[in-house]
Amino acid sequence: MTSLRTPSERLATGGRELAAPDADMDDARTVPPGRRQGRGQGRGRGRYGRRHRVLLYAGRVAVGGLTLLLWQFASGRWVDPFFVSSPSDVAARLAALVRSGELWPHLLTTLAEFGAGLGIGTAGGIALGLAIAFSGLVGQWFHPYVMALYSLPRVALAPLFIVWFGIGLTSKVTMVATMVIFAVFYNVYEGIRSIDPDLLDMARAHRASFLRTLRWIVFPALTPWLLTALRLGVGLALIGAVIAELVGSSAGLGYYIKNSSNLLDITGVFAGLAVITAVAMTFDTLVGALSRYLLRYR
Amino acid sequence: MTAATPAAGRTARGEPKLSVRGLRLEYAADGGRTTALHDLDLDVHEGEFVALVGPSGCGKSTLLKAVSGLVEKTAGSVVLDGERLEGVPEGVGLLFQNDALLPWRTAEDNIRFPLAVAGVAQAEQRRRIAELISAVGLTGFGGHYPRQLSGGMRKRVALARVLAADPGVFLMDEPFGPLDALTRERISADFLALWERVGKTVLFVTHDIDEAVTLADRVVVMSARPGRVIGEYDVDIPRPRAVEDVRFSDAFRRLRGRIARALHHRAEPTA
Ligand SMILES: Nc1ncnc2c1ncn2[C@@H]1O[C@H](COP(=O)(O)OP(=O)(O)OP(=O)(O)O)[C@@H](O)[C@H]1O
Ligand SMILES: [Mg+2]
Repeated sequence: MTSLRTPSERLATGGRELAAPDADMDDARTVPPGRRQGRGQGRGRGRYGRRHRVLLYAGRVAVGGLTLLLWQFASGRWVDPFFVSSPSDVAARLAALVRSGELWPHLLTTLAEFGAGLGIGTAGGIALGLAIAFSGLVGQWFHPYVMALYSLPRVALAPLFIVWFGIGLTSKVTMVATMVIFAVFYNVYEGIRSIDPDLLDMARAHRASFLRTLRWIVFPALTPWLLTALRLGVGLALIGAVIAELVGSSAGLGYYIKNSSNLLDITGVFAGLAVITAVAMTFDTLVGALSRYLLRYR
Repeated sequence: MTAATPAAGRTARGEPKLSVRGLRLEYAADGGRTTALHDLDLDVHEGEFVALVGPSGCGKSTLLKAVSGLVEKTAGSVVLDGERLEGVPEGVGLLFQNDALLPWRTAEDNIRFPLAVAGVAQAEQRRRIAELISAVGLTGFGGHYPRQLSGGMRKRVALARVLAADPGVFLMDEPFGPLDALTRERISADFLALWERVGKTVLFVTHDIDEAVTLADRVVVMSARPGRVIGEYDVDIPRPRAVEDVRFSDAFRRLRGRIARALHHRAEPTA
């Protein structure tokens, strides 16, 4: 890696402009990276009173509750329960799965694929982003190919990975890492390009080493971008794990869903989906909490 | 350090502390080239306070960045302490036009940056930071993040950070530019008092002639882009100066008028 580029060198390389990805930033927990540097802007929490928060959460619970009630009511009256099951059946199935212990191996398998793939994909994406952003011309040689891979619908690679690595853990982790790495790369790369050039110049003017510049400037500036990437990554990793399990596996939540659907056991399918949703929401909440902690300087 | 007054620096003219010769700087700008500086010569002596005024976009920031080694020179040389500079030199401190503070670090940690780079021991870092915080008048705000500070306070943090690096030459790029008149006057006064105590060499960019004359020993006027030096004016106002008072003296008003005419008509010959 060469030294950090100055604004003028940066102009000379003339990288192509890309719009930031649409992270699902549905509420005040995350902010679009690179924006809101200014002071005095609303800071999500604390801006609203207690009354507002009570209304917010009460409304959310009501929407969820009413949807479940409607489902329960429709099932057996408007729609054949064979096709849509019902919330009470799904709840009963989940309870049975927990009691019999059948849930845990599936959940743990999927979580292991998810965790390992997310970790490898994130680390790989960061390394790739730093390498391409800081290697000047050489990085620009590789950039279009990485972007081409990024736009490839990577779920289509799942059958290939099963052929290459078998139906065990390796093919799933590869799939998950492939899903995650590009989202992370993209955010890291764009994040580095959007760092205030004056901050990099400031570090250069003080003759700071590359590592110190990474520690004091690049990584802190990337934090909001990495958090966005992580949030996207959680969703993508679950998709990758489940798709790979659907294509070929002997355990995991995707396997349970596929198996249930082969047996025309729709309640089982919904039970699997409910667990996946719960996993996604749990990790999303964790990333949200991490964001609030890491971005408290705003 | 009372001996190191600017007068002492000015009488002992020999080799200049900083010498810019035939500096030419072109930026690559989509397709063509922008000439920001053209054949610029400038000397700054040890302990001297030089103010640089010029129209917006004439290359003042570019000059400071070229001296700090942040942009590539197209031609010409910069000599510091008799040595020709290549790359980023030691002993030159740049105060950026926008304050370039790290938003994710507290005021203290921003000031810590040069100390950490220099490998100063933790205890010594804490001592120096406390000293600098009080020197720039920020006592009690060390733990604040930049967004929790006013514009003037952020400038003070940026100033403390440059002071922490303890450079031999201060390059200051419109350090008090965006501040309101009152804050600006107060910071200028504090800075002037600080400088009159330590007597370091300063090259100070401003677009405000009053500020230039109030603070400097010499005012250098630059032409519109491509920037060159078109006039130099010695400021014979005795020190220590009181920022609030100097501007009412006759000497101040005469000089101010001459510099303004030079800036606007580019006709006045060099003093
Ligand atoms: N990174 C860059 N790439 C291309 N052109 C640049 C770059 N930086 C500055 N310029 C051009 O060089 C010229 C001088 O810019 P510079 O910032 O040095 O002016 P300045 O005198 O500091 O202006 P101001 O008083 O407004 O701060 C301008 O015309 C500007 O457009
Ligand atoms: Mg400028």
